[in-house]
Amino acid sequence: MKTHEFTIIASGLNPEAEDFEDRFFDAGCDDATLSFQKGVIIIEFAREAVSFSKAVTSAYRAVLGAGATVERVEPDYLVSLSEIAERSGKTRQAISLYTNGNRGEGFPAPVARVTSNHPLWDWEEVAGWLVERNALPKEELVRARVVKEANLHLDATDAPADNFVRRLEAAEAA
Amino acid sequence: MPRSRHPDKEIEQAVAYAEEEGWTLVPIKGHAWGRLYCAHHDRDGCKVSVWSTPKSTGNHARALVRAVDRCPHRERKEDNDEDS
Repeated sequence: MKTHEFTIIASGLNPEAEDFEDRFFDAGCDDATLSFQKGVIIIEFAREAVSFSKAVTSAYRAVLGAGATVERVEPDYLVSLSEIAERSGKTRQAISLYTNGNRGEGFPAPVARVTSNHPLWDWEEVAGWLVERNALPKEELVRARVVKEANLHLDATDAPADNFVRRLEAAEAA
Repeated sequence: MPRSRHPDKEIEQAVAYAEEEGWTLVPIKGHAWGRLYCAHHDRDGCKVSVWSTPKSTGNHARALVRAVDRCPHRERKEDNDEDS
């Protein structure tokens, strides 16, 4: 089985409580590293599972089982130019040629903070564009879809937890 | 008094690295062996928990180092996240 690396951002538990770590350990998070930074609980998983969506959904359930609230899954689908460079193994210069339209026909437009100096792209769109040009493994696009679906679900506050698993599995199969 | 060493070599190295970066180890009881606090733990500082027996000691050791490296309170050698 493959080991899948991703991070869950959580809240709702006091990291100074005596049982903070034990709650996560007992809920099956012995394959995660717990930290508390910038005011949020950061749970970095290296989880063995048959698929990426299975790894994320089982981790999601474990974090809820520990009594925490899941806020977000990372690496996030909203990415800066630097992050696109990092994730695709290219230089920032190469990526800015794409984003300026000089060398990348049809490169996706930014989707957030468009009027700022630091716009954000949707990694699923960017990954799809790179995969089409054989500049990124297909697997990365699948991961991008699953993480985006997870965060869209988490953004919709009234979305029931059961849907989470179905949505992620559907995103992976797409 | 010197602290006790973590039984796993890789995790011990990661803890020693954190200490070099100004973090402090506080031993605790339970499944966690200790908690590492960054130099700003009096205010809104960083904390990372060190397991006694994680599923994979290598993965855990690497994650500890990553947590130390992303501490926003450490002195930046180079902050290069500006997109232009």
